Amino acid sequence: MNTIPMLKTTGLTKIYCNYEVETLALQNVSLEVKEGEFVAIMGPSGCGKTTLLNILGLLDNPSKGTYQFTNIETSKFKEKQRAQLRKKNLGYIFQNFNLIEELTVFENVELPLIYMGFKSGIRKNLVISALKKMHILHRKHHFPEQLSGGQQQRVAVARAVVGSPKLILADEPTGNLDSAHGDEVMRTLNDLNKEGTTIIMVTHSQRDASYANRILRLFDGQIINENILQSFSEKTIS
Amino acid sequence: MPKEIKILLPDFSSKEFFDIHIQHSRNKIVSSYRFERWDLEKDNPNKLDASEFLRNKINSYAEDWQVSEIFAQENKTIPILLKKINKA
Repeated sequence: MNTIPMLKTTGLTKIYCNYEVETLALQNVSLEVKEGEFVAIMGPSGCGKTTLLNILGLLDNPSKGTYQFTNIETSKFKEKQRAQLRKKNLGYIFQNFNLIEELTVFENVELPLIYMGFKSGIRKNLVISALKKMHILHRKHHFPEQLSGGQQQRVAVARAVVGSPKLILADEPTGNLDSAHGDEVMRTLNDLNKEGTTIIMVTHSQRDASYANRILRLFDGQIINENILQSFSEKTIS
Repeated sequence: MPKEIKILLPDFSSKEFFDIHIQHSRNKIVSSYRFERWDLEKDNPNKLDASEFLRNKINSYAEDWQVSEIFAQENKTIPILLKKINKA
C-alpha cells in the first residue's frame, strides 16, 4: 500500500439550510485516505455518512473546511471543476444501482467513457473488458429491468470501473441485494482493491465492513472512532 | 465468507450488559462481543454532547475491547456493540 494520501480533509463541515432551519450534517471532520486503502464508513442512520461520501466524491461542496483530492484543493470548486475531476478520477456505486433504464447494459457502461472523450473503438474494447471482468458480458444487449438485482449491481460496478478510476465510492453497495449477490459484489470490490484501486464504502453491514482495511465510525456528523482491521485471511477459523 | 446473523436479546437497563461468545464446534471461542447501553444523562455528569460523550467512553473503555457497532440513539441511551480483541 502506498503511503501518499490520496485525499485529505481538514475541519470539514456541512450545514444544510432549509427556510429557517439549519441542520449540521458534518462537523469538523478531518481524515486522510491513502492510495490503495479500503475504508468503510459506518454509523447509525442520519449520522452523515452519505453527506461525507458525497463531499469526498466531489458531488457536493463542504460549508467549511478544506478537501484536498490528489493534492488539489477542491472545497471552493464550482460544479464544472468538480465534474472535470470526477470524470477522470472517480467511480460511483449506489445502493439503488442508478442505471439508466432506457439504455442497454453496454450503453450504461459506455456512458462515462463518452463523457471522458474516448473514441468509439476504444470505448467498445473497454466496455467489453469491464463486462467480462464482471461476468455480465452475455447480458450486454439487455435492459436493466431484465436483470436481477445482483446482475444490475455488477453492471453498476462495471460502469464504475470502466474508466479505471483512482477512487471508487460505494454507498451501501449491497443494501438492495440478498446475501449471495451481496457477497459477489463485495468479492469484486475486494479484488479491485487488491489490484490497487482505493475504495471508500458507506455501509451498515459488519460483514461488508470486514472487507475493509480501516473502519471510520461517525455519530452526529463527527468521526468518533477508527479501527484498523486484520487482513481478511486472518479472520477465518484456523 | 463470514456470515451475518440476527439474534434477539431481552430488554435490559443501561446498568446491565450482555456478553455474547461465538464458540466454534471444536470448542474454540472465536470471538466475544458485548452489547450495552450508554446513558447520555446518567453516565454523562459533565453534560457533554453525544459525540464527545461517546468518544470519551470509547477511549476510556477497557483496552481489550473495541467498538464494533454504534446504533441509533434510543431516548437518552446509545446502544453499543463491542468486540473483544484477540491478542496473539
